[in-house]
Parts: sequence; structure tokens; C-alpha cells
Amino acid sequence: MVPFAGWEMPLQYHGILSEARAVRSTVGLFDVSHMGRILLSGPDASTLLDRILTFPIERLSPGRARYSFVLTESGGILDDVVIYRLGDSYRAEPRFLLVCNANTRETVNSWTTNWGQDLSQITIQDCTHDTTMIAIQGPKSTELIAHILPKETLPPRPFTLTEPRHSPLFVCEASEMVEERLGPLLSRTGYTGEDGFELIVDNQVADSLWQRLIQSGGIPCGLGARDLLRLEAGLLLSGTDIHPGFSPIEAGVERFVAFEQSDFVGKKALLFQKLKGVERKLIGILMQGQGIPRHDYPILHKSIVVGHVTSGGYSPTLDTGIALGYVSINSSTVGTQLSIDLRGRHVLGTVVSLPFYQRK
Amino acid sequence: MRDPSQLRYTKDHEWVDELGDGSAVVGITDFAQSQLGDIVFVQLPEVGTAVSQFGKIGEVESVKSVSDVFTPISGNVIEINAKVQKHPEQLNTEPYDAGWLVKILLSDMTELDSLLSSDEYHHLISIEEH
Repeated sequence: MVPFAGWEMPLQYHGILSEARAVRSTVGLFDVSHMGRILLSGPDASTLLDRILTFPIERLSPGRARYSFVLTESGGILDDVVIYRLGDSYRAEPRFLLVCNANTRETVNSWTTNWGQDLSQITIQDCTHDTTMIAIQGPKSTELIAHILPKETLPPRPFTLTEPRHSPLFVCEASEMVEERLGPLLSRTGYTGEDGFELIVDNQVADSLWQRLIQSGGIPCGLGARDLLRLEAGLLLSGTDIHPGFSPIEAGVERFVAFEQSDFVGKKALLFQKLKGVERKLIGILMQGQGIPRHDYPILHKSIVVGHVTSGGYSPTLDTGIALGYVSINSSTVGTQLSIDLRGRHVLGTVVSLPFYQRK
Repeated sequence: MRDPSQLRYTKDHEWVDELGDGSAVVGITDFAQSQLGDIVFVQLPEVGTAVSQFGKIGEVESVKSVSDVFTPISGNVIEINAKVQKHPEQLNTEPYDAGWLVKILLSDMTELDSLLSSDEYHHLISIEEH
């Protein structure tokens, strides 16, 4: 068990590589309860989310989710998030779930409070400590989930979600309104590049759910495997690959910024950057020789340091080292030969387009 | 199959097996491989390299970290395990057999006496684990 953003989490259960391989070939389970889960509801919820996200919220229908960013006023990335639109409340008001990273949860909480100060018809509820979130990832995910929930309740496509209330996973006190609690919520989302689901339930049913998932064949996986899998899939880590010092344009994720929508925090700064052009870019590097690139290792182009590794690791799927890092714009073209300084040894790598791995 | 109780050890978790012919085989212990986790790269010296006792002779890299390998004995590297360079996971599964690292021609056999016995080594790691 290792400390992670204020939580104690398993680095591995059985072995990092065996767990990563299990996810790519069958199905793995991750307890991702450390992630922030913030419920926003009420007529003003859309207004607030429009302000702080780079995605126009009116385009999000109930039952859909989107990957987006919360930016600072200077256009840097405060956090990457997934925003879910749940079913409307019994008062026909929109309900949203914002899932953010563990290390930024308090920042995001303050951000929503500050930017929603003038809005009165909104309820913001941090449900992180009352709920458990389990990720089920891999080609056999649907088979595994079918042991827990009926087929009709499975979200049909990536980034869709359902709220299977007619199941033993639903917890509600007699005195409560149905939507006062979060869960159960099943989304077809994940952080591994495989087909899979994330299931949010009330803490009361979490233990038995985890046991049933294991008994039905799910393989518990820890942080080590999680990091390798997301890196192979070209997914970014908040605080490491993305943070307030870099914009979505520099991070190569401009496609998640809807410039045509009405004003969002950071938009002006981004438009200015688009005009001026950027000086550095986040790239993927595929190692050509032996050794694993790691955080902060220098990246060289023609013997000159042009950047540093943000995330690096061994890819079990490709059987070589892979890395992400920001480099000078002139060294960022796909196909460029770079080298990484591995503790004094320079090993060649090639700039590749992301993701490193894509499921068929 | 090597008998770990018959080997000599260093406090840096290397083992050495003295063969009868003036050479010795070196590897890392089961404790070392379990601490490292999944091993993915092994860097070994070139055959012919002269080594001194407790000097660095290579690196073992796992998913989560890199560890230097130090030689328990002085001498000359006469053979390296090419198989384990291609299949580093053998270091995890068979640290005393298929996962051997280098064979060294000893220059000073008395160095072996200064190393830890199996009992002494196991006492050391039992302290480390608590």
C-alpha cells in the first residue's frame, strides 16, 4: 500500500505487469474511489459548468458524458475531468456529476464555489466520501458486469451512462428523495484504453460488490498497472503531464476545447496563444533501446536538451519503454529521432503520435 | 538446481556460488527480486571486464525502480547470462538458477570468507522486513 493524494492505495496485488496484461486480455478491477465525485444540480448548474469547462454543456444530453478541462484564467490546465449528465431530477432540473482527480479535488471544489458565487439556484455536493467507484476494464468487461447487473442496464457506447436503480446496488433511506444520494451509476468510461465501465455505488454496498466481482473472475489491479495502461493509451495524468503551467494547446488536447461556445474561464488566454503559436508541445516517445524513461529525465535532440520526460514507463504491450514529455516545437514532429538521458546513458527514441496502443 | 543455503551473500543482496575450478557465479537474491517487482531490463558488463570486490558491475531495472548490482568478489568476467538479458523475468522466477548474472574468474579466493553465510544473510533480511 502506498500513499496517493491523501489516500492509501495498493501499488499492486499480484504484480504490475501481470495485472496490466490481465486488463489487455481479460478483465481487471480497480478501486478508483480516490477520484473526486461532485454532484451539481439545479437550474443554474449548466451556467456554472459552461463557465468552468471547455465544453458547451447544453450539448450534453442526459445519459452522456464527456472528457473536458477546467482551465485557469491564463489558460493553464487546472484539472482534466469527466462531466456526466444524469437523468433530470423529479423537478425536471438537470443533474450533473463532475469526476475530477484526487489531488485536485479540493481545488476543483473551491473553483466551483468561487465561480458560482452569483448563482443561487444550484446545489453542489461533494459525494466522494459517501461513495465508492470501481473500474472494470478489459475485453471481457461486459461479460463480468452481466454477473452484477442485467444486460438492459448496460450503457451501449463509450461515454454513455445509466443509473440502474432497480438493482440491489441501489441504497436509499425511506425519508430521502431518490436523487439525494449518488449511485448506482454505471458509465462506459475508463482510463486504460480498453472497453470497460466505471461503477459508482453507495459505500454500504461496496464491499459485497467488490467480492462478487472478484468471485465472477475480475482481477484486482493496483496503481502500478493503472499507470502503465493509461500511458500506453496516451492518456494524461493531472499534475504530471498536464498542470496549470501548460495549456491544452501545448498539451496536444486542443480538440477538447470548444472555442465556438460562449465564454469560459481561460478562453481569452487560449485564443491569444492560438494566434501567437506555442513554443513547446507534449509528445510521445517510443524507445529504440534498452532502459525505462522516467519522470524528469532529459530529452535531447542532436545532443541538445530540448525538454524533459513527464511520464515514462515500460510498456508490456509493446515490450519497450514509452514516455511523454514537453519538447521545443522544432523537435516535436512525428518521426523525429530524439534520445533520452537514462541516468547518464543516452538511449534513442522516436517521436510517435498518440496513443502508443489502441485496441482493435 | 542451486542450494541457496550453500551460497555466500552480500548485504546488498547478491549471492555468489564458488565453483570448484577457481570461478564463481553471481546473481541477486530472492529477497532482492521480490523488492524490485517485475524486472524488465538487465545490464551486464562485457566479458573480459576486470572487477573489484563490491564494485558496480551492472543494473537491474524493474517497472518501478533501478538497482545497481555489485560484485561480491574481485576478478575477471568470463561469462554473462545472455538468456536473462532476453528474458529478464527469469530473474524474478529463478533468481538462483536460470536468473544467474555473471561468471567471474576469482583473483582472490579469501574474499569469499568475508561474505555472509546463508544464516547471516537471512538474519539480515528478517531485520529489514520489520
